[in-house]
Amino acid sequence: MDEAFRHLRETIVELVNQSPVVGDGPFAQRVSMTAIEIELPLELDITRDAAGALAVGITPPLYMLKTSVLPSFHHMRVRASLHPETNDAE
Amino acid sequence: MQNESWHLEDFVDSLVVELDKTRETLAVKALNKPLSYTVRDLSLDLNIFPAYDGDQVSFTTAQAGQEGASKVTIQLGTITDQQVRATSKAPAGKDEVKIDTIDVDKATKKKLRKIGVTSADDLKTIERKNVDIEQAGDAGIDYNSLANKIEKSRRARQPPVVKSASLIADAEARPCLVIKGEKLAVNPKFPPVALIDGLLADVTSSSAGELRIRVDNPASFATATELVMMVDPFAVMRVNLQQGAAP
Repeated sequence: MDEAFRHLRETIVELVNQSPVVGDGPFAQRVSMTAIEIELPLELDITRDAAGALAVGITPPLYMLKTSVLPSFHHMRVRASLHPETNDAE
Repeated sequence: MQNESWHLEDFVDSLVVELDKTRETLAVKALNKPLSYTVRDLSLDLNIFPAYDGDQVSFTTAQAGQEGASKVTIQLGTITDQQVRATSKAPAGKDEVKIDTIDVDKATKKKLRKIGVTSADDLKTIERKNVDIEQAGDAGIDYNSLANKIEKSRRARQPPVVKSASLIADAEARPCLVIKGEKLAVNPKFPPVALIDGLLADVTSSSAGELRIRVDNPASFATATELVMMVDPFAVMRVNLQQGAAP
């Protein structure tokens, strides 16, 4: 796999690894996120390892510049929800 | 950067493996964080070029600068083990005969796979429902020949074993050859047949562990005697017997 790409699982774990409760100090208001939905364009690198198994590597767009030959951007949507599900995030 | 073509089944399998590993990683994190997120579903919109070789469809992801790609959307959601059990076939048992392992031509295996038959048990299920498999699949599936090959394969996995042979007097005081072993007569529809030195002998009783064969001339066992037993159409045993001194 190209070194610019990462395994799908690594990217998804980092995307959903958010703190469920966001606040500013113990006496300020707090926000509890019960669900996250992330959509992003991505580039794909599909290779086979030595055993012949398919390896799927992904990366968000590598470059901010609009070049004359653009990469092919695919699209991913990940939905994660709080576990255990509760109305009281605290 | 290689751009390998892939089959949908391989690609979805890889995604499922990745999601399973994601779940495992998040489960470990949840040990120290009582409140965390779990992935509910994943959707991928892919720009791909499909190709059909007459047998399978393969896909190649579009590369930089390529135009005219088709779009495939793959959506994966979470499912509980109860839903898996309710909607999937039970895992194959060790004794189940898979169609892939029997001596059948590739075209027939492909036709059977198309109608969802992957093992001998699947064929039996279809037979029980009185479905004409030759009509259900493409023409050309010879069911009788297939059933025979499956039985042959099944028998090859559980061959008969002869452990001992002895000459006794039966309840009517007539000489009787008793063959003991394992997996001898296992097919209730097929009565075993025995030949002693090429002559048909009368099999008086048979079971998985024992065969009893009436002997007309017990003196013939003083010299080497050939016993041929056909316990079912796919199991024929040839045994050389000679009466010897008791141990």
